[in-house]
Amino acid sequence: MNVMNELTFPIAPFGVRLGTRLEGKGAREKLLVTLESIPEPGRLIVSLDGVEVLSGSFADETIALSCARLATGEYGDRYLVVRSPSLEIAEDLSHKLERRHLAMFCLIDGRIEVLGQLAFPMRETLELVNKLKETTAKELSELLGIRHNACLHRVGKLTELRLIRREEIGSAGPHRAYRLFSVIYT
Amino acid sequence: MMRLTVDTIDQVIEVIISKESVRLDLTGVGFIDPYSLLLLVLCLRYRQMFGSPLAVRWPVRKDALGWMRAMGFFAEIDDPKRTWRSEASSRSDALQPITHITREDSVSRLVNAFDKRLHERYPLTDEARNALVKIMFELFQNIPQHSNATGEVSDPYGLAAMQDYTDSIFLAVADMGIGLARSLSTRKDLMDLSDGSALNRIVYDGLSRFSDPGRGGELRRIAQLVRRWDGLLIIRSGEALLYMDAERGDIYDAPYFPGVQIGLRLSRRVFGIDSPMVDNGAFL
Repeated sequence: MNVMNELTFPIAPFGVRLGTRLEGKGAREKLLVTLESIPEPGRLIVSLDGVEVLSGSFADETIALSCARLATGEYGDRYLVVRSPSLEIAEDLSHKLERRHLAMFCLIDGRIEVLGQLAFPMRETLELVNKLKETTAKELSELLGIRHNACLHRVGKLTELRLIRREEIGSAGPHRAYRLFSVIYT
Repeated sequence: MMRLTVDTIDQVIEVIISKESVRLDLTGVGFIDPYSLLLLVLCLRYRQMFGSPLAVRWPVRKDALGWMRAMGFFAEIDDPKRTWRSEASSRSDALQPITHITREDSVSRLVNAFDKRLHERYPLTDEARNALVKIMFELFQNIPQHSNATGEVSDPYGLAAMQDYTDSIFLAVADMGIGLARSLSTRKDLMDLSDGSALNRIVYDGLSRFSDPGRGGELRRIAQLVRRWDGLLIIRSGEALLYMDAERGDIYDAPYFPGVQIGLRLSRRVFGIDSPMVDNGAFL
C-alpha cells in the first residue's frame, strides 16, 4: 500500500517577497530540518501560498538546492513537492531546476505541473505512474510499448529525481523487480 | 542643451578619468539620466581616490541642478561616507534618490523602499511590479555577492537610483568593484577573458564565477525580459559596454572604468501606466 507521511513547509513566514540568497540559505536550513523530521516514506509540501515574489536566487538557495541534496539520496525515502498559487510565482524556481537538471512536482489549484527539466519520454512515463498510482516496470513497459530495459532506464531516472518511489520486490530473470509508486497520489 | 544619457556619458567619462583633465564643464547640461548620474558620482569619487579632484562647473539650468540635488548627488560627492537614505525627496520629480548598497542583509529593505516609492506614485499592475522587484533583488544582491569577490576592493559598495519619465521608468545600479571579467577570472577555466568576452558570456551564456550550475543566469534572464518588454538594457564593465534593446544586443568598446554599471529603461506601458508620450525630459 502506498501510504506516505506528510508535512507542509510554508515559505511565506520568511516574507512575501523573497529575493536574496542569504535569506534563502536560512530558509533552506529550516526546510531540511523539517524534511528530516518526517518519518520515511515522507513527503514535504513546500507551500508558496501567500508569496508574491520568489526570485531565482532565493528559489535556488532554498528549494532547488534542497532538491539537489534529496536527489543524492541523503534524505532517504523522502520527497519534496511544491504547492503554488500560480505557475508565474514558481517560474524562476523552474528555471533554476532546469539549470541543475532537476525536476519537481508543483501543485497548482488541483492541477499538477512539473517544474524544471524533464524530457518528453520521462514526462510520459511519470504521467502513467501517477495515473496508475502503483505499478511495476513490466506493466509500464507494456503500456508504453517500449523495451523493458528502456523502461528501467526511465524509471531509474525518475527515481533519482525523486519524482516516483521505487521499492525492490525481488528479481525477474536478470533484472531486479520493483514496485513503483506515485509520490503525488498516495 | 547637452544631455548626459547612456548614449553620451562615455565622452564625459573619458575626460574625467584622463589624468590630464583638471576641470569638467557641465554648464550646458540640461538633462541627466540615473545611469549617467551614478557614473558621474563614481567617476568623481575615482578622481578623489587618486588625489586629483576635478574642478567641476555645474549645470546652469535650475531644473537639471535641482534634480541632481533632489537625487542626493551633491550630498553624495560631498560626503561619500554617508549611510544609505530612503527618505522621500521634497521635490516631486525625483523618484528614488541615490541609495547605497553595501550588505546583502539590507537588500530586501532597499528593494521594498524602491518598490514603495514607485507604487506611491503609480497604481502598478501586480505582474509588472513583481517582475521589477525580482530584477531589483538580483541586481542589488549582485553588488555584495560579486563586486568584491576577490577581496581586493578596500571600500566595496554600490549605488542605485530610479527615475520616472513621461515614457519610461529608469533604474540604475552601479559599483566600482572588480568588474565582470575579474569576477569570472576566479574560475580557472575563465581566467583570461577580456571585458567584452566576460560580458558576452554572462549575458548570453548565463555564466557566473561559480561552477555550480544553479548560480548565475540572472543577467541573462533580465536581458530576456528587457527584450520581451521592448526596453533598453545597458551593462558596462571595464572597457566593454552592452547596449541591448528589443531589436539588437551589441557589445562595444568603451573608455575604461572599474566595476559594473547597469541602466535599465522600461516603457511605462509595461507597468500598466497609460500616459501620453510627450517629450518632457523623456528619451524620445
